[in-house]
Amino acid sequence: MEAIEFEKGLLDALNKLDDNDVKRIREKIGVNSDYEIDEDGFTHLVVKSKSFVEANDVDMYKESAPEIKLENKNNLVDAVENNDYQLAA
Amino acid sequence: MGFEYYMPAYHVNSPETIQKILDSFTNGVGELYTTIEDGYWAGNGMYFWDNTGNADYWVRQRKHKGLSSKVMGTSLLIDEDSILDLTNENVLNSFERLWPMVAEKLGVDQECSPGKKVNSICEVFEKIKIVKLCGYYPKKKEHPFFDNSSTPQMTIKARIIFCVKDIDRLSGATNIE
Repeated sequence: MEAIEFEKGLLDALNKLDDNDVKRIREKIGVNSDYEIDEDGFTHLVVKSKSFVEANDVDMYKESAPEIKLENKNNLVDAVENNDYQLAA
Repeated sequence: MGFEYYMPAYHVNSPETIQKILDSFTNGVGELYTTIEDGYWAGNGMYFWDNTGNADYWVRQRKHKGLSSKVMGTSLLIDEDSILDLTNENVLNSFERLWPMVAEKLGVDQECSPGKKVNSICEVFEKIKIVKLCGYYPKKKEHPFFDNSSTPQMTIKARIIFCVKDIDRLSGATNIE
């Protein structure tokens, strides 16, 4: 999909999420774990420390979050230089 | 509505897992085998290479890790309306710009792996069924057929990969010898 469709679709989906959706997604993606990659390109799943988990859960649910909107469509496909962005492998 | 087309794609895994996948297609079920082996890049899903040479590369990498491998081929449905193309810089710019909003909404650490970001976004925006990416392998020796200069050039160090998140993108499965 094109960038404009991605932005519109994602923002629309975000705005439709209720608290139950957020809770379900958090459980599914595993907020307390993440991937790491080794020098050969193999992924490993790691679990964050207890202190990180506690800190991260402090603001777990944000009630009455403002609706998110496309702020500036003109910037959508601006050539933001992403030269430093590389997929690690 | 975007273009739709099929292309060959290749998945590498243990012989046992490849056989399970082949059997599932033979039985008419068709199971998507998801792994964390590549999850750092595009999150959960079944990863496919776009040609047999790249699949053979991954077989060799697995062999170095002491893992035996088989390759299966499939016909992959590319539907441009449901593909998140991380080789498209415009899409990447949008991803980068919107990620902080997604992270805040979900209460997820903004500083996490690309794979976790993709997982989060795909859970929110369920239309995405395939993530396309370009893997870069800096340790891989450049092929002698190509120049090795500072000018724009062809390279064998970058490889196209598809992370498939829905079984309905695959049409059949074949053992590749």
